[in-house]
Amino acid sequence: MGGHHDSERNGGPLLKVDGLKKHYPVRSGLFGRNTGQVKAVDGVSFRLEQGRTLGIIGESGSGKSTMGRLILQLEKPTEGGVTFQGRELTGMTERQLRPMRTDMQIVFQDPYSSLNPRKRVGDQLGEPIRVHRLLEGAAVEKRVQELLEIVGLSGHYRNRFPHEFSGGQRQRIGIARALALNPKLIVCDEPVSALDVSIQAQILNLLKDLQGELGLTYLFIAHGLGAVDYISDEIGVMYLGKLVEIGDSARLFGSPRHPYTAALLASNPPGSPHDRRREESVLQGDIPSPLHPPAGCRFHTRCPYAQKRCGTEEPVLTGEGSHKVACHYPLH
Amino acid sequence: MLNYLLRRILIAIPVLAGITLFNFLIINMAPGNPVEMFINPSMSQADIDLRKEQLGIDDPVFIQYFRWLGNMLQGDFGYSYSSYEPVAKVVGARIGPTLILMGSSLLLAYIIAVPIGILSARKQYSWLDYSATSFSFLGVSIPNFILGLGGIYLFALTWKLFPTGGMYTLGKEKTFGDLLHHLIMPALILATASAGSMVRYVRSSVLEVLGQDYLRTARAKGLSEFVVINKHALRNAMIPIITVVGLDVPLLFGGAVITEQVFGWPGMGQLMIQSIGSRDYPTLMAINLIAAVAVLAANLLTDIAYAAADPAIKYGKR
Amino acid sequence: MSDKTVLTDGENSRSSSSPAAPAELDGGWKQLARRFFRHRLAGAGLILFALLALMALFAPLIAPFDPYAIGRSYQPPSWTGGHLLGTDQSGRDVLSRLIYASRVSLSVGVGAVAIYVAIGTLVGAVAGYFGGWIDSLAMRATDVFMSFPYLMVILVMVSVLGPSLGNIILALGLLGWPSVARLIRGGVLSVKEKEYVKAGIALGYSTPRLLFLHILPNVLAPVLVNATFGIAVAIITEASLSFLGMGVQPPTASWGNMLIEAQSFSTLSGRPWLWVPPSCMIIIAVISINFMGDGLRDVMDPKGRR
Repeated sequence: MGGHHDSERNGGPLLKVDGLKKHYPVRSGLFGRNTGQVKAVDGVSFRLEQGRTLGIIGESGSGKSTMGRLILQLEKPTEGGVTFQGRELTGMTERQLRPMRTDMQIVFQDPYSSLNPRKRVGDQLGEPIRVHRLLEGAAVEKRVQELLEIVGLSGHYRNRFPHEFSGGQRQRIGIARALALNPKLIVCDEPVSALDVSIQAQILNLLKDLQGELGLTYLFIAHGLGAVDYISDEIGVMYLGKLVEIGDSARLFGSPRHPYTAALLASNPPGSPHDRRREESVLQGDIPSPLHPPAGCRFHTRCPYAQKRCGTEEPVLTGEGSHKVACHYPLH
Repeated sequence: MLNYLLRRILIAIPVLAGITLFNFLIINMAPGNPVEMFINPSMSQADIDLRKEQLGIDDPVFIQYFRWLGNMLQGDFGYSYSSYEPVAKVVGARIGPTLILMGSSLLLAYIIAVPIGILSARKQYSWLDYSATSFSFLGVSIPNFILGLGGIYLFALTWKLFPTGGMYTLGKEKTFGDLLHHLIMPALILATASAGSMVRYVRSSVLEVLGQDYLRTARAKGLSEFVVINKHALRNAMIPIITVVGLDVPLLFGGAVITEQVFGWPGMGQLMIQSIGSRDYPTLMAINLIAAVAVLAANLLTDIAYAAADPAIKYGKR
Repeated sequence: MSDKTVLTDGENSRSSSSPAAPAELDGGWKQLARRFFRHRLAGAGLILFALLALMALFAPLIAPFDPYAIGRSYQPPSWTGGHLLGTDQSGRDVLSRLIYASRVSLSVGVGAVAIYVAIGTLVGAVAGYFGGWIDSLAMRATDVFMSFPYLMVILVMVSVLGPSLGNIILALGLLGWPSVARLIRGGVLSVKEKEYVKAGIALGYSTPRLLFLHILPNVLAPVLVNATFGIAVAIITEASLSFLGMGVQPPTASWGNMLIEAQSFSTLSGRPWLWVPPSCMIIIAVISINFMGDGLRDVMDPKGRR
């Protein structure tokens, strides 16, 4: 279903992100003056090839979810570029974006707020198909039924309202909605972290099967490492709006080079069922405020190996091959 | 706090400008040229034109608006079309009676509503609670003029306990006792609607406060029920109650128009009805403006009282 | 896809416990209706209001006399003379006028509220969704309108426009919108951040589609309560205006203008049939609506239920 239009591609990666930034102004005082900026995402670059999965991990506040929304242009980036299927998305008007949107979709974290409580499930799945005129009349109904079955739900659930479903079922409906327009890229924004562990596995398996069957490309954002390890080809680690390490999933988990990645791994080994456990146990202190990020390497305030240089000079993301790290004194 | 106050006042300025503009525009839509009031058939066309120029009738509306605003800021409200006296004087004479009526009924509303609301909350689901809730319901549901008619019928015409209207007995010396005698019925009736909604607020906010942990702590400390209720519960329950006053003032003005008309109370409301009858627009504008300023001032005071009563309120963001 | 078994209802129901169950009224208009009818006072209010509406609708069939037909004035009520509630100054049948007057009250109530709910919804939705200077402007406008001494401004408006049923509806409609606008704005502000709205943007829906088909239906519930109480306020206001002579003009009958005569003490003390029935009708109408409003509020806000 998904991969029929591959010929359109012109050889480059499906998604290219260059120096993406999102700064939120902070207003206060008598007249709401601009008194600072929260640098939620602060210069992130990567490429994602068709049919592959890039996992993004980081603590809450690292900017990973914001980045997902920036890529889909659900929020306008402050700076930087997003190239999707060879076309630059930043700077496009909403009207220009609309036809592009069929190819890139999103699955949200919270299965309770991701579905409209007042619309029947079938209507929520059929509406995008009707709006983009992919199908008409009875064919839409047939497709809705098919979508429900693809995600493992019964076709006659289409007449029910979201509140009649469990969290896992709702997440399946959210995935079906993301599939409705036959997208190429799906941003999965922590799709399993709100679910019980047993259901997490079901949803992950579903996503993996769908990828094999429909040739989907995933940007898989996650809090914990377990889910990411299972589904990703590549992993990126974010800290305070920056990508600190990126590389092949097996290599990155096998021999992490950034102390932050190592700390994350130590507190929560990949494959561990305790996906929801907080990573803070090994790291000292809290994540600093993105309003006043530390100078130099942003991790130096919590880094066990920090040197003098780390507090003044900001490391850049470098490395041979596909495994890159932003650290002055990488491990290994 | 000072910052917060300053901001509230700054916000009030455009609101006030909006009120004056709206007021001016409505009255400008009125049919009939006010010049006609000042013209008599024996005047020549030149005289009429001169008159028009003096009144500024032929200028564009916005120029008229700014002139009117400018004059008003200097305390010049123009001349009444019906009595030819300065509007400031005509309206000024009516402010006192209206203030007496509104002030006393606001006070009455509090005196009635606060104890009833507290008792009602303390004895939830008792007959007292049910009758208090019903009372508040009726107070909100029965229009002032019907209460007024009923009141006059029963207390003035049938039982002759109170006068049927007016502020003082005609031809008698103006004494405080006489004023009070005339004031009781209109003030009580004007108070009913406010009291009705206030009972509700007091009851629900006391109920909410009574369920909180710190009251249980206060009781556990062995404080008497009286102290618990009056010192701890009431202070916290007052916060939502304060806000009701701000909301009530505009309604109170409306109620005053009707109550003054029913009871022949010589206030701004009665003047307003008379001015509508005589198309006395300068007077109408002045009355509306004064009422709007009073409402704004009440809102501002409410905000300040609210901020003072609740230390947790944030002044910075809004 | 090996593990794609169809999930049945009972399975994995545990996961529904994850985030706090949404307090929203998840698509449950039906449930709401059920709770509303179980609310005793609301039910009574609805029945009363329905009777009034029927009376207004079928006034020509119910009224025993032509409400404008002139006869012998000030006949007291009698079972035998035909005039059950007597006649007024011009000898018109009070009962028939009472029945016809229900049309005025109900049309003012429903008409004015329909106008201001429409205005308020539009203003609130646009302000909440677009934010920025549009929002600031709209909110300052609501401040202006809410600072008006309501009845006074309406009196002036009606006297300028000319007192008539249509102008009363118009004036009430033009002044009532700010509270609705604020309710809607608040709702839109919170709902537009919901993920299903973000999903709608990602699906390429147009802004009007998102705003009117996805966001608004989820913020209308509190407006329903507001509008119900609004009908009662509009009815009281019309009655007050008519009583002051600035409302519906005779010979058209309105409960308010039927009470004008009661301003004379001889009528007040000597001819109660002229003022007691219209007063009762106003009170009944207002109470029935307030009962419904109370019921709706209790039903929609489970916290505040008694």
